[in-house]
Amino acid sequence: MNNNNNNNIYQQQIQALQQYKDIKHSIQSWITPKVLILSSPSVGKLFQKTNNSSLHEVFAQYVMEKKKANFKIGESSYDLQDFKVNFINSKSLDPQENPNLFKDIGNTVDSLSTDEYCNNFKLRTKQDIPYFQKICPEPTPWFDKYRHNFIRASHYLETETFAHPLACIIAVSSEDQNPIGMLVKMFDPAKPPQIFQQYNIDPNIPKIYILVHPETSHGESDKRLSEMKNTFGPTVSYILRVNTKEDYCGLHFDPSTAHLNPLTLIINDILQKHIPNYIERSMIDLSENIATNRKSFFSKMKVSFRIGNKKNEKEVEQDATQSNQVSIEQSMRKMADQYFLLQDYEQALSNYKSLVKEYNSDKSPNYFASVNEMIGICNFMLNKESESYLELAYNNYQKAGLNHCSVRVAFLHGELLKRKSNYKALSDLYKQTAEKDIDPFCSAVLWEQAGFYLMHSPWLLFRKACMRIVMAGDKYSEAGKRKHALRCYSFSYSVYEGRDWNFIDDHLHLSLVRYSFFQGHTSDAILFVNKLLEKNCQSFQKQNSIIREFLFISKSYTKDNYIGELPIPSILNDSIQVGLNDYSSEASKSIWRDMEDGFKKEAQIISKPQLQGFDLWRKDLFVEAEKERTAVVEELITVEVEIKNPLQIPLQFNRVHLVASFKDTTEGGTQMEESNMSPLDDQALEKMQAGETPFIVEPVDLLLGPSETKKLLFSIQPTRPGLLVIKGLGLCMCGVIWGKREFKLKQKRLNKTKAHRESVMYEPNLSLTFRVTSPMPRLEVQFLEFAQSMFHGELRQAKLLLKNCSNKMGLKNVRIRLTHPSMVCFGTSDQDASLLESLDSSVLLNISLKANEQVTIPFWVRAIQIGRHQLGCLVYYESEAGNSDLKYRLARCQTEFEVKPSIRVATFSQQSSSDLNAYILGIEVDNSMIGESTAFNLAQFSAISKFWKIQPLSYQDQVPNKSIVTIKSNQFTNLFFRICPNLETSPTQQQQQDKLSITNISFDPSLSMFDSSSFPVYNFLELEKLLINYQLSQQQQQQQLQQQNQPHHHTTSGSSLSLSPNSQQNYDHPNHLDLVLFWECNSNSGSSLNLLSGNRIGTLNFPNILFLPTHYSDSALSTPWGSWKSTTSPSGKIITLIDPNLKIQLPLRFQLHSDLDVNHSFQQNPLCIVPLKLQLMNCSFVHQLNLTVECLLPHENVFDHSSTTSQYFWTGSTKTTIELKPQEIVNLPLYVCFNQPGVYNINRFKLSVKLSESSKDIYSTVQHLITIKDT
Amino acid sequence: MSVLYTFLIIGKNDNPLYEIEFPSSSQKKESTYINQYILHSSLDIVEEHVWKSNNMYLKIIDKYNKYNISSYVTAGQIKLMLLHEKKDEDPIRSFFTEVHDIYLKYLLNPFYTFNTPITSPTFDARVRKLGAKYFF
Repeated sequence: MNNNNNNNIYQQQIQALQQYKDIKHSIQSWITPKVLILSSPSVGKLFQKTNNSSLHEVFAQYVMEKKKANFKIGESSYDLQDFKVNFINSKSLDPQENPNLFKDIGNTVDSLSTDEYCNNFKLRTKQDIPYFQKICPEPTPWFDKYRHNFIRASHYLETETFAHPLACIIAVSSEDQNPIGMLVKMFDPAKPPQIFQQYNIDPNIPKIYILVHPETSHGESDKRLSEMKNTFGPTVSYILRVNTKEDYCGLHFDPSTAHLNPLTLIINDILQKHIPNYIERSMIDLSENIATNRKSFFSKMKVSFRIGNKKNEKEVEQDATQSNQVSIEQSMRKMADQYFLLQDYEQALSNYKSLVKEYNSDKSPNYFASVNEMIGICNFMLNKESESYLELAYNNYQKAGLNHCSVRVAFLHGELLKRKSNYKALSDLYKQTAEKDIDPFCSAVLWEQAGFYLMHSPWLLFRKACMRIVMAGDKYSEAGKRKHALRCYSFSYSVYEGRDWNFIDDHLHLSLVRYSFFQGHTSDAILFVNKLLEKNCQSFQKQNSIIREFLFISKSYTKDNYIGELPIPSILNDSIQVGLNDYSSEASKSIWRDMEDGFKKEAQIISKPQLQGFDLWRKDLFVEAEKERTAVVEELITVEVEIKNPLQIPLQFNRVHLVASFKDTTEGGTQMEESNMSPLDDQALEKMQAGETPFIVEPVDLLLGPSETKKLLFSIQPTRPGLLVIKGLGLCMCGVIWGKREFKLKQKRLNKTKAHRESVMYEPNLSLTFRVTSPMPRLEVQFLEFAQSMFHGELRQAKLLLKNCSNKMGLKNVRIRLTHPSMVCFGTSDQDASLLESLDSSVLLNISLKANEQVTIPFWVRAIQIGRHQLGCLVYYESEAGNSDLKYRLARCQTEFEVKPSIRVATFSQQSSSDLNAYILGIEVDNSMIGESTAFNLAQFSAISKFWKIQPLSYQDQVPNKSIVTIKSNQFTNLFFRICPNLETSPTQQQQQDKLSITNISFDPSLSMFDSSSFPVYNFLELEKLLINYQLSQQQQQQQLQQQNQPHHHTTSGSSLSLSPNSQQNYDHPNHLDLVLFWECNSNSGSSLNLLSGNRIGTLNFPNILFLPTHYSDSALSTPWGSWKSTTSPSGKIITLIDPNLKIQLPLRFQLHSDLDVNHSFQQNPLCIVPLKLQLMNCSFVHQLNLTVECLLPHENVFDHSSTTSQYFWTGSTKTTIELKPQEIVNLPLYVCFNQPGVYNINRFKLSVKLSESSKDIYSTVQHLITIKDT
Repeated sequence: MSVLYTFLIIGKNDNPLYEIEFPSSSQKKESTYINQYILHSSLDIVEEHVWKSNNMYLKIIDKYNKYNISSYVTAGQIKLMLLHEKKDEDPIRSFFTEVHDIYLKYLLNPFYTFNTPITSPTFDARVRKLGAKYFF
């Protein structure tokens, strides 16, 4: 129903608008007889009281109907079918009132104004225009009505007589004193009102006298009426009884009862009697007047021709001054106008045409223009060519400065141009008119039309059109029509948008800000303020005024002083950092992430599904969705933000605080969302402090200088469990207006499913969303007594303070992970040590803390890597009460320390040449710290191995000279040891495998020995080994990766040497030992940070020192164990030239034994036979060796010509096959035979060892010299 | 009041690349934004004229009240526009030709991207010099 009604109303409106389209209709309603209504003040008051109307408005209602009228002028008579009059009051005749009149005309079309020409249309290029014209054929529906009203109301009393009233109604109230006298006084034909005299209006128009008689009045109306009839005549005296209680005094126009209304009678009398009579009479007068004057006129003309122009002018002036009587021109004009009124356009035209000759464009452009206009209009009414006359009229009006008349001509001419589709000329005409000094609304309408008609022109001049529409906007704003102005600006904005026209942008943005605000489009206004201030290219004065205006407008146009999104300050969204107890900050994330993941695994919170087989194809379905983080009730969440003032003026912000929304998601809780997006005034603050809000924020006051950036830390404290989303900052700008700035976080573009790819979708960024959970204990962790500076290898004790900050909850299951797990051992002795099993596991401390309890945990630190380090400690703990949302919490602490280099050690190992089962170990200790006065004392040397022990070689029981174990700066010391089997433990005895033999060699017997098998020294050794193993396995992985990446495989020569990829058999041979070197130093110098002035001790560990049998004759078997290599690795990298994983390739050692000096009498026996003993040993503990000993032929004689030979020969069995069991030593007897004295090198034998795949030939490289002497 | 000249270089997307006013001392901001509107709206006429002539110099193509707008379109569809009151074509033609010359040289600069605002102070100084040479 309602819709239908609306439709009907709309249809009616359209029809009403249709009538305004016809310009002939407009002309006719302009050129209509006017009836002047003069009313006494008391009548005016009477109508004012009832409906704020006036008598002439009441009369105006009654001219809607068509009335017939009959005129007889001379011989011809005119029957007008719809004769109308316009009722006017004296005000509307007054030229002083023109500006108000135009304003009123403008207001009549207010209801037609629209917000937009066309929804969702953006004009960017020429190509958009045809589309625009298609979807929006009529962008300005108010134009026709405006034109109609403008033409209808326009008048120019001097040159045209259409506005001259043809009748006058004079009304007084019966309440007035002496109404008759008043009636006479109000219009005295002898002394007509000022305006009549000024414009030569005929005062002898018919007068109608009305006595307005309110019902409440007790005056004797009938008596008065008869008095009036006596005075003025019965035909012109009327009485009007009015009901003051009803609207329009009961005279409201109603078509059904109109014929009963007294007004109808009066009007009919005026239309059908008074006016026709007057016109008929005045036409006769006028024609007589013209006829009598014509003669004298022509004679004047002749005189003027004779005398010349100057005289003529004077005479004309004289004429003008003389004749207050009606001049001939005026009479002619009036006659023509009256023919026009009678719609006899032919007659009118001929009159105008004869009149136009009287005027000339230079002297009286206004008259000339006016007559030309009328000729044009007559021609137009007769459908003849009229453009040239209108043009002439237009130009002359301009010349005479009659801008509003020229607007009227422009409207008429424009209509003609439009009919010819000459849009460009039309547009230019309107533009030209609009530029003149006319009513701003009128000018705006013209500019607007000029713009839209340009778009119709064949060249689609959209840029020009937009400029004109902008001008229209300017004019509309001048006229105070904000809706119109906003529409114009926003329509044209699209043409200039993003094209960097700085001044245009400023102008448009500023206007758009203003009018968006006025129209209540706050968000648009903010958008444009942002754009306005974005470039920051205005002067600071201008920015100041923009801000002032912005504040003023927003204050006066917003509710509760809350504006929503503010344009400034700018927030650097990338800089937003959230500080939450359980999560590491972005910056230090890399340190903690691995450890956090480790705890996640341990706590069995594994959110990533295990993928296997075909699941891999659908990998993206298994990717873990990011979850919001968990915060704990009553614990602060901090947000760090950088805020920038983009302007060149300082800005003040009060009570800057975080804005958040909260949703109670607990079961049974209200699902309401609460937020603090409202001013944080004193009331709100009180409420917050009283705990009525679900979270508490901390306000900060802020002053930002020009272009200043500040980093601020805000905090928010949730008070109830639920879902908390931090939205942005709330602030009070310059103490005036409240608003907020939202954080805009970077979001990941989704690209997983088809839907994602086809449209632009973003993953929600949850970094500012928190699940607030019920209270949990909170642990604070701190390092105590942690040394800032240490020497490499130094051992120090420190403490870790654990403090439960919660005053309600206890905590349990404390676990610790460290960034440098191999550096720290928790505990003080073997009994209370908490040890690490592998590098990627955590240390479980057997601790539980009640509320507010604290505990200190001692631990040992050993500096194993030179440089500056950040030691991060991540502590895991669980609530005693348990919490399903948050199974565990993490506490972090970190400290920084420096490790300085201390002594460096190189080792060397070699097989002993005197003992088949002994090896030499050399260590070279080097204090490389040049310039430091620190001296290191070697205190003790320990070897840890299952089967081996060491004995000092360099000296006997005691160190002969202390200086060899005190190493000053830039000094070296070499120490040699013998490695021999520990007889107590034999490798074959499997049950004793686990027991380690430890040899401690003290360099200073006065000191007590360190126990290298106990805490923490042994543990640190183990940790270092773990670290090395870890690093090695990583190296291997890398190598494997590299090998895989290499297209060609390098097959290593000698397959037996190839690295076994399986590192499980690490050190499966027992020929290795771990060494620990204890040092002491007494250093106060060099480090002021050193708080402990006492002795500092440290250990240097050299794990896995290898000593293997070697055979130099075969390159594959000769391993360079024999050389020095540095074993300390201060940088933490492993310096292993030889892979310790190498197996013993050939666990064979051999040695020749014999007398070295043999005395033999060659005279007695030409051959000297010497027995030799070849000792062969299988070093392996596992494998059996099969080998063949073959004695080789002697060398060829070096000197061929010599008769003697220096050769020796083998006798006896020269080839023997031997099987060697593990660790077996076999003595093989050999015999060598000499035939002359000399020194012989006995090395002509070969050992062929069968390996699993091949056999190796080994030649002796050791000299075995036997001296044979002849006796 | 001195005679005003506003010179603009406009790129392919109707975006101004360079703007200067002669004499530069005039601080009338009000007129400046109108000038920009006028020059922008004249682009319509330039588009119309550019295909009618073989010359780069299009002479006075548009008028806005007392202002005249002369234009010069380069081969790359960069429009040089001048808003002026006096109608003397010869200095304007020479001015355009020489500015085109400088512009081409500036275009050879590898650090300048075609159709982006010209920020070079050297370019600015040279145009100023040309302006002083031809208009005063």
